[in-house]
Amino acid sequence: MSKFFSRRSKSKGPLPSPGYFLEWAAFLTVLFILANLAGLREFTSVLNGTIGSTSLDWQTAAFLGAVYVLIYLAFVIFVPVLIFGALILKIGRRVAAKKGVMDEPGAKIAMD
Amino acid sequence: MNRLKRILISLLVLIVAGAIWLPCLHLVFARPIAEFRKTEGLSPKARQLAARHLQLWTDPDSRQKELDRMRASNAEWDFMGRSFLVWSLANMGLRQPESKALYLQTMDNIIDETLRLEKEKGMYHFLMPYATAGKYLMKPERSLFLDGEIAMMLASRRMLEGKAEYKTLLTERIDIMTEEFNRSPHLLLESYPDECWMFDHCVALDAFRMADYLDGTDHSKLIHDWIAMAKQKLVDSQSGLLLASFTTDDVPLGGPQGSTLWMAAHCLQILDPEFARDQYQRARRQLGEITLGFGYAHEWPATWTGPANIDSGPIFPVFNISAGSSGMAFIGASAFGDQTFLESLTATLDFAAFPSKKSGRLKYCASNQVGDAAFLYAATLGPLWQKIEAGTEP
Repeated sequence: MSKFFSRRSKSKGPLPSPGYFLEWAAFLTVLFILANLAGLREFTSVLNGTIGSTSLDWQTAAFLGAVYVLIYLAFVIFVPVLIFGALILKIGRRVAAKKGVMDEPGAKIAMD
Repeated sequence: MNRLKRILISLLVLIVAGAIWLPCLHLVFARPIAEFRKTEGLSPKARQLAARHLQLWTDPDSRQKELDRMRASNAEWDFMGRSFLVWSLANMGLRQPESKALYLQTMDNIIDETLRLEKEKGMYHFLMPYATAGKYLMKPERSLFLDGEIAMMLASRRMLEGKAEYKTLLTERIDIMTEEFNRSPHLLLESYPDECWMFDHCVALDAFRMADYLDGTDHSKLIHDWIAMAKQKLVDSQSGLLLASFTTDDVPLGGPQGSTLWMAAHCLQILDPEFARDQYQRARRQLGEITLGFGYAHEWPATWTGPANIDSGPIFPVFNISAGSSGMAFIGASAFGDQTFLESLTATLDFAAFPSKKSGRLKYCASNQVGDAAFLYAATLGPLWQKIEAGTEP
């Protein structure tokens, strides 16, 4: 994995770094795991108007439910999008590199 | 300049990646329909949902916690959760005779406790607080919401196995409702003060039909007259869908609501099958949607505008998704064998209802006990209606 993707997040070339996308994907995944471990999933009952816990007030329970929903959607929708995005960028950078080599033989293309 | 270019390229890449991913997202959650509902026996999801409900009825602490959460929002849900569970267990008993004893015991526990609470705390215990704000027009005051569902609980239990005590209770309840229908000038009975519901009437009429099947009584004229009246007076002229609520003088209170219609269409199946299918097909066209492989339902057709309420649940903007209508759509899709819609609904359920499985027991975190009981009913319904339609010996 580390061989395939750049380890550095910041890109100095014209194309953004795939590693930057992957870092965000990893961050959202960790956030999702933490939200699950914290038991926030239970509070999503706010979606049908039922309080998530009778030991918390309605606003707090609703807030925790909404936070979980946002983190979940970020995980389910954006993590795969970021991974696909990283793949597209990687392919794009390889194509650009090959094209650069063909157009300017011997030219050094900054990969990172 | 380089930085701006990189940001624009990043956005473009994310849009392309999103265009690839979003149409595929439902594939992660799509499962064979047999996982939710099987023609014979019990599906894996039905088993897991049932295991959780059976556990709730053997663990008073868990049950009380769940009921407290629901009652904080709506006391009706406490009652309806019981009804849907009893109706589900009756279907499950017919599907899985080897577990009948356990189901009968649970049904009896639920029925007995519900009747005890009704007797001790009165009908208002299971009604929303506004029930006490007005005065019931018919005296003595009764709620068809309770009478209809309790009658159908008793009848469902007896459809699985007879019980003399419940025969008396069912007959009493049926006689009370019959007498009220006879006294009502428009054949409309209150669930709340001068507020009548299509859902409750359809359930009550099913109880009549089941009582006729069980005890050889004949309420066919009442059923026929009521449906004829409903077709004439309780259908929205623009959508052709049944109205959800109305006064005792048949003045509409709300429009056609998905949270009522899907169940009403299912109930009509043993009363007027042709009308039932017509209502389901209209509801499917005007309320049901499938977007990117995910099924859901609106609360109102495009021709009607209404506010979100306790029945519709929250309405999610842009797509106008109603949690209440989408949940009840499972019952409609199951009852009418609409596999495509049901499959897309189950994908949505696994995507957006946050399933939580522990020790073989399944619950949906975004739902509650009544919601899960309605899913269980959708996953198991069929045998009760088939038994009545076949007309075999009770």
